[in-house]
Amino acid sequence: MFIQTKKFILSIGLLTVALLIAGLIVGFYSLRYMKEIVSEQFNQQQLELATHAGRQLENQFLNMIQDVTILNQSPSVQYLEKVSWANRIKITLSTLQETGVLEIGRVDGSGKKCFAVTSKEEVRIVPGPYASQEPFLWSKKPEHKNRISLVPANLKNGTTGRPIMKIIIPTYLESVDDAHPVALHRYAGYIYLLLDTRYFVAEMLKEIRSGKTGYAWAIDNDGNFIYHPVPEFIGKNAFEVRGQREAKISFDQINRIQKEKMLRGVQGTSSYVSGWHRGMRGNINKLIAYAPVRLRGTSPSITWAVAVVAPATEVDEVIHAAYLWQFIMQGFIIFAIILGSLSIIGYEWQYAKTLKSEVERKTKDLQRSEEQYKKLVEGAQDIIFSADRQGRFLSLNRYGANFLRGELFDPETQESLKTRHYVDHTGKFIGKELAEFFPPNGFFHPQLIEEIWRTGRPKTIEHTFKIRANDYWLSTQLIAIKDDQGLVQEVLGISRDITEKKKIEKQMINTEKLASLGLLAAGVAHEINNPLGVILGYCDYMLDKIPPEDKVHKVLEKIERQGNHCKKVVENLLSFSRYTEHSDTISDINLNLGNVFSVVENNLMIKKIQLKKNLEANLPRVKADPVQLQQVFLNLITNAVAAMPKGGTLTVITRWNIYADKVEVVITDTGTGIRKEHREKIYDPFFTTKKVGEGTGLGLTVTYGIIDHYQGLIQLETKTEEEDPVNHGTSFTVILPVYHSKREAEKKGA
Amino acid sequence: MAEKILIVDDEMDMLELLELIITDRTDYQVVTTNSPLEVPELLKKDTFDLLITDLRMPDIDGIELIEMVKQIDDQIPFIIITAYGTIESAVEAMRKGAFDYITKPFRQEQILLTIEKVMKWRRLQKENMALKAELEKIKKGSHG
Repeated sequence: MFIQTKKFILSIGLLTVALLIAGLIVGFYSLRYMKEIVSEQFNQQQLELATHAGRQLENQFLNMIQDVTILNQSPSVQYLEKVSWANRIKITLSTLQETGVLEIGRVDGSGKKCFAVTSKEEVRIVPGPYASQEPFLWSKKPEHKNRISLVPANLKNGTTGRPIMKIIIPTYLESVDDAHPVALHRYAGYIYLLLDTRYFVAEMLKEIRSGKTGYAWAIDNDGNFIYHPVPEFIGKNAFEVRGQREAKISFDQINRIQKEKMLRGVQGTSSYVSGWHRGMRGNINKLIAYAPVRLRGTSPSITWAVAVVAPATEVDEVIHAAYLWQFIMQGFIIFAIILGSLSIIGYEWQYAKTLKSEVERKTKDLQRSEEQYKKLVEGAQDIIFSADRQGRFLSLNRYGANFLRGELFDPETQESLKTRHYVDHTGKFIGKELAEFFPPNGFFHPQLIEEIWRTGRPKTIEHTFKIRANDYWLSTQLIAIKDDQGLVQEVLGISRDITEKKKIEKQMINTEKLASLGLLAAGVAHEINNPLGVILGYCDYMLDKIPPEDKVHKVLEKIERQGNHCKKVVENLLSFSRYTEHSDTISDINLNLGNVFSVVENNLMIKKIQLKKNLEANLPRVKADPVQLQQVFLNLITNAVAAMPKGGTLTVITRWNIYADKVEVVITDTGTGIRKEHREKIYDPFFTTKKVGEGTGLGLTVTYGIIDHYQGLIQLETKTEEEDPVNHGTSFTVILPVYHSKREAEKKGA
Repeated sequence: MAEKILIVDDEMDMLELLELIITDRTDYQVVTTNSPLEVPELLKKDTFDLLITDLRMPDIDGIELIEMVKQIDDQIPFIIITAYGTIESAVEAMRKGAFDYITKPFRQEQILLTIEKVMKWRRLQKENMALKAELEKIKKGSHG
């Protein structure tokens, strides 16, 4: 259990770590991916900037060209009117100055003179052989009409390193004015602009910011820098100048971009390694977006390129910051999850532990209660069993098994064993039918189980039960055990041995019977006594009067004999009924027995009966009338003698049962014993086994009445010759409470 | 002058039997009544030397009868006839001053013996009383 928990926790820990690592890897990839996406987006933004800048430059160039074209249409310029050409040029120049135009001039059709106005409003007419020069030759070609040419130029006055462009537009005489009413449509030289390209471009590009530190630069169609934040680059070849500045770094990438993309007028995005960025040095990854600047109308057409660059770290920083936060957040979340999981696991573990201990406790409790129940069931001195619908044993306690097997009956002592240790015989019963052990003649029939199954109501029956030679009374309670749905599952039976109870009940019934009989007998005796007294009185009188040899005297004798028998019966009846009357006498049992022995000893000798006396000395006295006690002992001894017609042994034992505080007198014979069918009737009045006229059937009735009157008990144990050929005979035990004087009782109380 | 015996019993046959035995075997005069309530009247009319009474009678109990008799004549001895079963009552009667008791059914010797005993005592009692009276006379005479 504990090892499993340990394993479980370990695996959870490992899983957590694995998840964290996986999260990290996924995070890393996602960072990369994010970087790519953001870089892409960033570059797209840069591209926007670049294309926009390119577009602006194109428009500016177009505007400039339009202005120059308009100027070129001006008659004063076409015809080089002395009065107005310079002013006209000045007008245009004033607008174009802002874009970096340094000079606007006009070379005449002969190529001999150049009429120029500078941005400083200098008007110059410069003579020169222009006709042989490239611009003139280019402009002269008719196919270049309405075309523009750009050629690099140099200014004479100290603008070294500044790329200057000469923009050339051929001039044809197509306008009319007062002096020239008809357009000649003739070639008349060209107009040129000197453009400070750096200025032209810088005005647009220097304001561009990409990210925090990103900037724009531009190259012309020859790969020279038109503009760069690093001023010394301007005018230099972009393919060379970087390597000169940072030799260690390979600029292949940017060179390739410049060559293959930018110079070919393609727009796009990419990245390259640079050696610096503003103040920083070293290997710096840069993101680049580039766009062409198509100078429309140029022939051959000229395309510049604008690039917007920013270090990748810009993106990285943004993303890294976000990702750092995200990662911290992730960490927090994972930490929270782990913490939560741990606490849940801990709680679960704790809970499981508690549950386990609870379960253990409950199991223990259950075991204990089960043991307790088992103890109860096994320790019960009842037959406890359960049965199925077919009336077969499902279970049975040990006591029951021993009882049903007759193991609890000791054939030696003829008694039920009072043992607490039972051999387990239950296995011999399980699955067998109840009817096999509970014979149906004891009113316990198999249909009972079926009935309980059907009705679900408990039932209690009292039935007899025979084990070996002994008859028992059992009180069996049958209870339907139901499940939660109220369906009967089994029938529980509890059988209690109520043999003793039955005996006592019978005694009670007997006692009551005898009490009422006593009253009746007393009444009857009195009623008979009077007439009997009269009869016997007269008979007595007559016997005196009539001589003995007379026949009548014989008759009177018969009357007197029968009357005397009557008198004996009545006397017995009266003495039996006398227990309703009080007598507070105290008796010494041994002394009374002695009196009785002296009376019967002679008779015993004649009947060949040996008397064995075992009288305990110093026996406490009992509260009973000695005359009546003697009557009791005499009755019992007379019966014992009658039971031994062939002689035998009469044993009389007295003893003091200290624990019960009773005196016991046991009178035992070795006679014929009392037959089973007679045993219950022996105390009934007028029940006798003697011949008519020999016994009144009141001896034991009177005995019982007397003993009962003094709160005593009389017990019988008997075995007939059929039941036990060796140890047959009858034993009566008279038990009387010990008498305590008031003083003794007080002492006891104190 | 023969001594007189008064016998009280609700049973007529018993009365007659007792009368028969006593008159047959002794010289005493016998007066019988089966109604105990007549006894006080009889006692007032006549003087008796012995009263024999049954203990159990209707109308009036033997014990009550004794109480009644004692108020009229506290010197008269009496014998109680009782059944064996009411021995306790007989004992009580003895305490009340009965001279003796006889249990039913009795043999005539028993009753005759008992009567004789009582009569002896009765004579002694009478003699005693007479002597006492004589003594008183002498005392008075000596004074007078």
